[in-house]
Amino acid sequence: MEGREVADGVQREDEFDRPWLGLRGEHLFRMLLSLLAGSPKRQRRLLPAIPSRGDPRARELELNPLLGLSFALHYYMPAWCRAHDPDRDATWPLDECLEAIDRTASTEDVGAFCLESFLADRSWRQLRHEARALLKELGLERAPIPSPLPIFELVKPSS
Amino acid sequence: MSATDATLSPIDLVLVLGSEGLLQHTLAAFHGSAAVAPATLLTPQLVQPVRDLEEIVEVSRGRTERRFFALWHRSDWALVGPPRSSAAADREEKARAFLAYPSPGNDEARIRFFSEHYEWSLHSWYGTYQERTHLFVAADPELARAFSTRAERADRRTKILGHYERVTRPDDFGRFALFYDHGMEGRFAWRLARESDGFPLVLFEFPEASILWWQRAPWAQVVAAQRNPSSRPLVAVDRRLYRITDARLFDAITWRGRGQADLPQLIVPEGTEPAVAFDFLDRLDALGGVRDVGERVGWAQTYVHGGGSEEYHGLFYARDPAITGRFCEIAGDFSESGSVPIHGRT
Repeated sequence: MEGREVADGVQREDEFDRPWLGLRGEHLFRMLLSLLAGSPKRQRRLLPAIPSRGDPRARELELNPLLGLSFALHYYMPAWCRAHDPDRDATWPLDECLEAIDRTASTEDVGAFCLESFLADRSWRQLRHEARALLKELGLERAPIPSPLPIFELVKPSS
Repeated sequence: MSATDATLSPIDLVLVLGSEGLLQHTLAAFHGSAAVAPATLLTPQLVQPVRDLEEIVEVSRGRTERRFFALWHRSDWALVGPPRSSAAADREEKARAFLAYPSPGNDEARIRFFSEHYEWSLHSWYGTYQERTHLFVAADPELARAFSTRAERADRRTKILGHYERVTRPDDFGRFALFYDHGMEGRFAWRLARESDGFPLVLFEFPEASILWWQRAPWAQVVAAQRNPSSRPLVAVDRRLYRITDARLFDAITWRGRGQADLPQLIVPEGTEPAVAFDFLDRLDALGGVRDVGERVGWAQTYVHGGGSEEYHGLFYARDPAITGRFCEIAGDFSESGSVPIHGRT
């Protein structure tokens, strides 16, 4: 496992960015961006079983791929920003858009985290647009994505 | 602060939170005390002898030159008493260098230098953007006690944050740390907590009924919640103390990139009584508040906003100065791999 060189010469594990699925946080975030940059049709293929509004699974992090996607984007964003966008200037619009989607959910309502919203809502379209723009702005190619994406594996604790 | 085994001649240290009014009132209280006059005001830019206490009070009230008053407010400064010896021709020059280039690495050397060269010294710097801290250093314990007593009576905004008597080792003081950890928020406290095999507790205040992305994670455990506390009757708020057991999640939710409002209100060690943490949110003084929590639970960290748009810095306090020392060492590790300047330890 990679580590960080410290002053006393001892390699210390970076507990804040342990590799997951063999990838570090910045690579995982890029994979998620690449997913978002694709079409809704492809996204549904990579993220199967998105629950409909009213489906009780829609409220569960481990059962709703859209909640998992939002969580994973937030979860790996610091590692991405530290590596590619330390001032967050490029990532800011996508983050704002993601937070706008987050705010649609409350303790009582799943908000935009359901299939109907995912396919039709402007907020999700904007998030896809921002993902494409971010990759383009930073001159990054889309990363390969396993199909289906094990999104629930990405939201398990790293330690 | 660099660790050293060298001892000091016994000194008393009084750390005081207060406005310029503190200085005015305190020095006025010393009026007539031979131990206090004459005095010299030192700033990075100038050496200003003050003939007597009336003049010091006049200066503190801003009734002398405007330029002088501006310097007084904006920079680190020290008011020093009589020299302990007539030697050291470059004494003032060296003393001013400490004020011009403050850093955690020379806090200890600064106190050592001033205690060796002056009968007493009063240092002033920003503790938070709203609060100014003062450190009175005296070889004479009677003088320190008199300062401590009178400072507390100076005005209602003044508070003694610590009175350390007969200090002979640098590690006997230095419970506060002011620091910047931009881009690495919370990491120092995480690592400190993990060294004791605990997980840090993080306190947030949210608008009622909101649910943030990470609050669904089973490994963000709510230790205690307080809804609509009576101390905040006009707003709907939800206070929650979380035990986070995942380093990456802790990093992601404390990271400044999540937005200023999401910076944790308080980080404390595992086992902290929730009521102690919740009470902190009703405090108006960050320095006194974090000191009180740290005294009760071992250590505490908070963030202080101000100074400019979206500016803030960290504030840490530990009951045991060795813990503060360790906190600064951890921060130093991060500094070497990134760029996290540590502002100071007192």
